[in-house]
Amino acid sequence: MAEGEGRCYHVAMPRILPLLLLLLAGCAAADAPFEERRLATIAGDARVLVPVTFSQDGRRAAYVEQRGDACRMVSGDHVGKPYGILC
Amino acid sequence: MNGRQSIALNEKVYAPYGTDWSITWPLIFSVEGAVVACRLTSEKTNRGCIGVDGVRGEEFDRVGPPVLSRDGRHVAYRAHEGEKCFVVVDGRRGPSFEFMSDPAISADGSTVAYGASRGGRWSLVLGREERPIDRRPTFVFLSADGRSVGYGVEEASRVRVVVNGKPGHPFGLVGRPVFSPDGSLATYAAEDEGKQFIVIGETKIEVAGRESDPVFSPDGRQVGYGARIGREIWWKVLAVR
Repeated sequence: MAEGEGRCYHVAMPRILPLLLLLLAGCAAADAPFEERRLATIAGDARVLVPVTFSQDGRRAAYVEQRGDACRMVSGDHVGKPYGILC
Repeated sequence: MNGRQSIALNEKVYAPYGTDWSITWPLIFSVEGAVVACRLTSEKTNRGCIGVDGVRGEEFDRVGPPVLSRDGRHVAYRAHEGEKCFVVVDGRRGPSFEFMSDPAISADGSTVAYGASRGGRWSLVLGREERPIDRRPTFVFLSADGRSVGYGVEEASRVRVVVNGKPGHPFGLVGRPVFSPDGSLATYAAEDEGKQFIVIGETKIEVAGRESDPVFSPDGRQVGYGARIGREIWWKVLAVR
């Protein structure tokens, strides 16, 4: 099984996901309640390109949205630089 | 960037390994995000090594993706030399095998586990102990304290997660399992025949719109996962029974 990983979908992780996880790593609040909540609403003219990434405490989500020709990372109020391609 | 491979972190771009080494994705971060590790391949020799925070490790014919302890001070990975493979933990080689899975590492880095085959027989290697198992494990996972161990096996195109020796339900696909803080239960996402599930211990719960792997709350009494329902992004919570 040198490179085989079986039928497990976690191996096919888009490149951007680890970076989104890093962004979210600093967002956890130690005393935050672990509860169900709506985190965001995707804008009507935006397309989400990769699976949404979540902080471990469930308080933040990050995703890459495409609007027109630009792609950018969005997490709460933080909106990243626009790029032609994010992968 | 000018033909050089770079890493962008929080809008800052840097190329820590020079032009002779190409980075294989994904990047691996420690839990706090303070340490970044990755696989590197030499453009000249095609051999591989692991880079951690800009420092290259020993070169081998091939290397697997690294795993880091919680603080990022300990690193483990699979390495190949000729026909043999072995785990490398903090630069030290483990015993040689013919095949092996990628390793898992405990939070403090003191325990490493992996599946390995020698003479056609598979074992689950936990620290220095080798436990015989009857099938090839496709992945291995550990509790934070390294005392509980689980792995996935394929059976007739389905996947079963085995937790502390006890096999779970078979599914078409499974995600990345994690142990509860006390190591007594595991949770993971699964899919089968178009339906999504969260498995907690021996209980499987059908869910909708799941986008992330589940995690335990710090007290271990709840499991949370991310979901996308229409245009809304949610954090959903399930009680552990």
